[in-house]
Amino acid sequence: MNTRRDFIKKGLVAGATAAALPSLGNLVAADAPASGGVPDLITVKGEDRVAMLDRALEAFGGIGAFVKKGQKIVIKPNIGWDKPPELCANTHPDIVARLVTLCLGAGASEVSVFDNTCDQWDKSYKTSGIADAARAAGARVLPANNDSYYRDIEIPGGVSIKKVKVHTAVLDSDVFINVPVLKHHGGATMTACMKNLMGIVSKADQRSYHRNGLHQCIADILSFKKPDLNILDAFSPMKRNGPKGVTVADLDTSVKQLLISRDIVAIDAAASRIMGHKRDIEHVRIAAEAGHGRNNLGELKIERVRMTA
Amino acid sequence: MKKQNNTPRKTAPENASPARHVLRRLRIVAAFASILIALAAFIDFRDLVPNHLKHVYTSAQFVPSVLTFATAFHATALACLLILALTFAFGRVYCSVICPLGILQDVISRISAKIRRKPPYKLPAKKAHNTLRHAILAATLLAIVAGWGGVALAWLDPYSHFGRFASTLFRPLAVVANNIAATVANALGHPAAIPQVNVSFAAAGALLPPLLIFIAVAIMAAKRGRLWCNTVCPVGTLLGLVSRRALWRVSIDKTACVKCGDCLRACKAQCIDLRAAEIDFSRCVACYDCISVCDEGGVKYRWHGVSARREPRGISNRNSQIPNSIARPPSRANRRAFISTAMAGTLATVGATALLASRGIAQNGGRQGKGPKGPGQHGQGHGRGRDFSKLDNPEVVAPPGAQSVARILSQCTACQLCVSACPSHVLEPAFLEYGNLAGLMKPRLNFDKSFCNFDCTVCSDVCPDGTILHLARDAKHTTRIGLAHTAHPRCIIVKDGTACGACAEHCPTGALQMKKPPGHADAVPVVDPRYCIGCGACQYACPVTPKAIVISGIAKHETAEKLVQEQVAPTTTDDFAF
Repeated sequence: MNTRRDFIKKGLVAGATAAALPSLGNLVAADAPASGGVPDLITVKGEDRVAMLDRALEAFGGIGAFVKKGQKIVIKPNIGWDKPPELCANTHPDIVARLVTLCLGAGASEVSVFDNTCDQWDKSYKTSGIADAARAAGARVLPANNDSYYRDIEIPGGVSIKKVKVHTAVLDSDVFINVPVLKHHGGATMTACMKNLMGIVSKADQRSYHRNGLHQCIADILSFKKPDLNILDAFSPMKRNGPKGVTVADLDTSVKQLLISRDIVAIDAAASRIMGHKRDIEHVRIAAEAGHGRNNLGELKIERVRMTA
Repeated sequence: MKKQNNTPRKTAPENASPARHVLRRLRIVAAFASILIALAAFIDFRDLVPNHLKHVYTSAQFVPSVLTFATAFHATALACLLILALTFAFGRVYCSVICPLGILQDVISRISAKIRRKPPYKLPAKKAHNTLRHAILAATLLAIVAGWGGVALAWLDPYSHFGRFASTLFRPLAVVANNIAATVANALGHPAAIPQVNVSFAAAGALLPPLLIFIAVAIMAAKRGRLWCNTVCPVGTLLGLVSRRALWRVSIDKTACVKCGDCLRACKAQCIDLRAAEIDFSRCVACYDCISVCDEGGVKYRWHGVSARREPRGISNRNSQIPNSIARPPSRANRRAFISTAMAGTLATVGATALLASRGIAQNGGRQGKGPKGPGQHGQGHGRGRDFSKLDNPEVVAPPGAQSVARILSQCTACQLCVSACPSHVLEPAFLEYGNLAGLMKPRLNFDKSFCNFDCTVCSDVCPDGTILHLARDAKHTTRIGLAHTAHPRCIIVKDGTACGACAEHCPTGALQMKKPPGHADAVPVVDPRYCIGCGACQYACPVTPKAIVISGIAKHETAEKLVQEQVAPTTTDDFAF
């Protein structure tokens, strides 16, 4: 069992090792090294999103822990808005492109990328930089602008929603990777991993979420499906005027984190702390109570990694 | 198609060289290119055609160019002068290779001939309907002078007719075809190859007028060639008045003509009088089919100079038995035509001046759709009151860059280019939303269907006639076209006590914030009118019916303030926060 002293000692040792081996270059000082086994949640603080993603996946044993040869992968970033990457209203395209490359490298037969956007879909795909980056990395960038790309599914465990149309890419894939960006949200208080799943349902369903209790609906979809992997881009979270944002002044550029977890509730609970909320956001609390994941951060095995240049 | 039934004639004279086909072939190539660009510009449902090309092609059309000339003095305004110069030199080249409505009629004639298994024209020569066509031209010019130019030009400009056909009739068909292909592609496992496009049909009120006019044009084209251009179209009549005395004219060389009638049967304008061996060049649409079809070299494109003589200078009339002056004495019809020419010229000058003046009126917020409404009245209708008249009867919203409802009514020709180019499809042809028939089919924003993209300036980039003036992106960000009005008792947050915020989520300016006013349990949407530009994102996103937030247009567009906020304070510790 780790005492705080061990914790600091190990951290110092690791830091010293890294400092002593400058030839290793882009190395890592771990505040809390994983003492064996896979963490429930890892967060990496650094300067480069791609290096942070690689480092975070390493803690889980690399992308191979999630993606097997011949599998179909679907990646769901946040491409909600017709905004360029520097405004951080969408997931950063570098992260999406790197994920595509990693999945294909792990032998995935097919990697699809889509989002049911809020702004006009083709403009959002383009301006976000995600469509071009994902395509260049070898992904199929799929449209989601029309009901014909969705199929009806039942949610027997749903409280407020019993039936939704879900994008076929999610229904027909073996592995579902959720890659949102962390932002303030005028309606849902915060948008992170759970809120991002509103982009897998049809436009009519998105509207019905807003009519039938947003937080409950956001939690309900988890009864149907939970992503196999959640990767949260919290490099420069939007702290106000979200989720669209007005200018770069809305961004907190000091955060520089990237979070990964299999547990969508745990990662959103952690995200709400980054956004400055002492208590969990309502949909996180509802999801935890429904048993979709754990929000008791104190009892989770969390790995915190600080990357130095 | 030509001359299937003719018996072989004696060998053609050497002046019937293959060169006689050159002009006609050039005309066909140019016309083909022109109508392809026109169709692409209006049917482009994937936004693949560059906006610049759409703008340049359409703003070179005669009426849009005249409108720009009269109101904005943009470079494209010179196109109308160039067209007039071309017409004065060579005849109605505009009608043969530039005007998409003219070319469309040729296409319809061809198709109808194929269906009926007949040669395309084979029409008898007819007299010009001079009284009618000059009356329509004069009425158009008078309408402009009287301040009804917005209606007259919209419903008589040939380019705008074509635009309405292409945008409201052809485009939805193309989209349906695309979606069938997309369904097939999706079924084959390639959904990204051909994406679905949402079909937007114009409302019946806006669909019917172009449909009826299309049917009329198509019937006239199938039965009588270019009858529309030479009777109804005021542009055709105006250019005809200029081309009557063109420097180079197509005319019959009486020394070579054997009066076989081939040219007459090929003429889509029915303007060749073979008995008098004369061509009414005011009706000739410069297709050059007559030159091409004549084996004898009897139809020639020749320098006539500025003289009124129908025979070119320097060509002797020895073979002609009757001197010209006797063969064709100035008739009453001719005199009438001359008088109307003079009248048209005067009216054109007055018309242009009137347009200039109406621009002044428009900018001062004259003639408005639903009565005057001074600035500074907004900011009302927010909050807890029960006066929802702004939500139930919102004022019409004109596109950003149009500056005012009055300019839309007085200048826009309802060509639908902005409507078909609008990437978010928030622009649609109005029915009676502008309050009167002058606004019929002119662009208005429908926020129940979509919303105006914050960074988009496409309508102002493509508008050919200077109605929607070019907006830089920064200027667009602060151009207020309407204002959001809320009805909190209708809001789902107040009604059901559940979180929503869809409206605030979509607001691009930060004008709409979720705030907890006294007396409310939860945060509700509150509009700060200083920053609202009326983009309609909030109205579109609002999930309830009737909407709890609605944009009401403002007759004269304004400049909004920009929300300036301090940089978000960075986290004070270098901690992980959890």
